[in-house]
Amino acid sequence: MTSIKMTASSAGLASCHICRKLCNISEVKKYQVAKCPRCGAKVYSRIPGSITRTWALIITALLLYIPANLYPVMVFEKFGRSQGDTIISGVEALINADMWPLALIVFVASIFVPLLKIISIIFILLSVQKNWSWKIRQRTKLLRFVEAIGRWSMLDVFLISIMVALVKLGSVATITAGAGVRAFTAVVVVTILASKSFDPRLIWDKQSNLDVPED
Amino acid sequence: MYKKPIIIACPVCDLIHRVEEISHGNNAGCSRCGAVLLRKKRNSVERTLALTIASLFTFVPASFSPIITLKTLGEIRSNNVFTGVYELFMGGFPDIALFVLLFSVIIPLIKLLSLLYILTPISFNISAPGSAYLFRMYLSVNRWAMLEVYLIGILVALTKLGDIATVIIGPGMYAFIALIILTLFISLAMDSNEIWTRIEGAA
Repeated sequence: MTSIKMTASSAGLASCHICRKLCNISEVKKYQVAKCPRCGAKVYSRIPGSITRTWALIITALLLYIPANLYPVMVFEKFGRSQGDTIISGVEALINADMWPLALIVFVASIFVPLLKIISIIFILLSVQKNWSWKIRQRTKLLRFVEAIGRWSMLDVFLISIMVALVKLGSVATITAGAGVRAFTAVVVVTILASKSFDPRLIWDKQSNLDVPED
Repeated sequence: MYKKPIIIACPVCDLIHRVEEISHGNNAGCSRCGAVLLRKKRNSVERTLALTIASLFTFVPASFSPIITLKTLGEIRSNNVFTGVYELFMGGFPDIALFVLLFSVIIPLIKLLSLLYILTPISFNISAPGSAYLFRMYLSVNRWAMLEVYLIGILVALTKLGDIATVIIGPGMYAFIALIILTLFISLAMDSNEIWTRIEGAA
């Protein structure tokens, strides 16, 4: 195996994001859409509007993170009394019940991971826009890591769905979902979309100062 | 050995590479950033197809059989994925119910059925109509299947409830774990480049 010392974009080629086939897009005019000859997907040199789109999604996620943690995600009704639990108070309750491993799992999946994801993506966006050239490999690894762990935040939502199905004992104890679960699901979905919309090649483009299409 | 050298661009840093051969079980890595360019897997189509069929068989008990049964205060309640979705729906959260259903049932099922449709003809060297479109959809939707996350959710619920009531693990649980292991093996056995080549070649 050898490498041809050019990037695809500088050679007028684009890699299909679905089937990886290298397509010639040098003849494509401004308002035309190129389709991959192998799989039919749209072919573009870099994800169009990657930076703008990712910013929009990540700011949305950040804004949604607030109600996700402020509003209760689970509501307990015990003997007529209603008590809501937010994600944080849920973790506290697990700690008080001596269930440290569970508290840790829920804390990491529902509080730490989304925040880490949001902060990492913002950091990478800024690093690309300000043309930083240090630690490129590490930033790439961070992006991949953050993309892989994103879906684990849905843990809490699945947990809630199981709890509401099982704990239905009339007025003695009933669990229902709370409004926070909506905001929280939105945070997870939006952060996944944000990492999908960011093109990792942008990190490397700035490094080689090659001619790439601007957003 | 590839019939003709594959020219491919690194998905991470965009550097073009020319790959002539990869031996089974190995990867071709980007010379600049180290990302994986291509993987070659042995008997990928046959193995993936076998695993897909096995997964579809486990899918039914995994989704419908009771996973956890709770015995408390004289009442017995069982749950599976659908009861959870139902209660969310009735509790005023139809949108969240839909997402849970999507990530834990609908998307995993679509993935398995698509693979079945695409790979069965391919193993006979024919390409079924719409294979390219379906495989494209498979690859786009891949990261939205969250079965393993659901499993950890079950384990957390199990531990939490086990403290206050009698919890019995149902057959659905074992089927669910089996399904997850099988889908993991599918992702390890599948060689997407090989599949694309066969779709393209047989079409």
